Amino acid sequence: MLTIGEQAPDFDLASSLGGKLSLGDLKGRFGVIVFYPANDTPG
Amino acid sequence: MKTQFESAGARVLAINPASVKAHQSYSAKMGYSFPILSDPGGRIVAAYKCQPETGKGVIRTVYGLDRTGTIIFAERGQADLNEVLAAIRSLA
Repeated sequence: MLTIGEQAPDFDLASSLGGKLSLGDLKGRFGVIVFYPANDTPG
Repeated sequence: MKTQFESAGARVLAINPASVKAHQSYSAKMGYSFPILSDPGGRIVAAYKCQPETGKGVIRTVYGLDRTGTIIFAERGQADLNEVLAAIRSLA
């Protein structure tokens, strides 16, 4: 697990809402990123 | 909960290796309005250290980021989202 104080790694991935979303799109705002195992186990 | 995050100035998103199409039907079924991003190769899952030692799948993890992209909250499993919110509000 990444630890508090580390810089979040960049990403640029296709979004369920269309288009792509990157870490840069979050800059200037707080972000909450949830990683979860599979779509039948919501997180 | 999403609205509470938004009023704290935060964006919520989820990441998982499934396809965009699978994410769209899952979001529709669950009534989610936040984006779910597709990481088919698991490269970002690995970069965020959420990959099990077997190399397959995802370890459920919640991260909170500040405005510069620095990690301010990190927890495995079913994180208490109120704690994430508190971490954000303490810095907002």
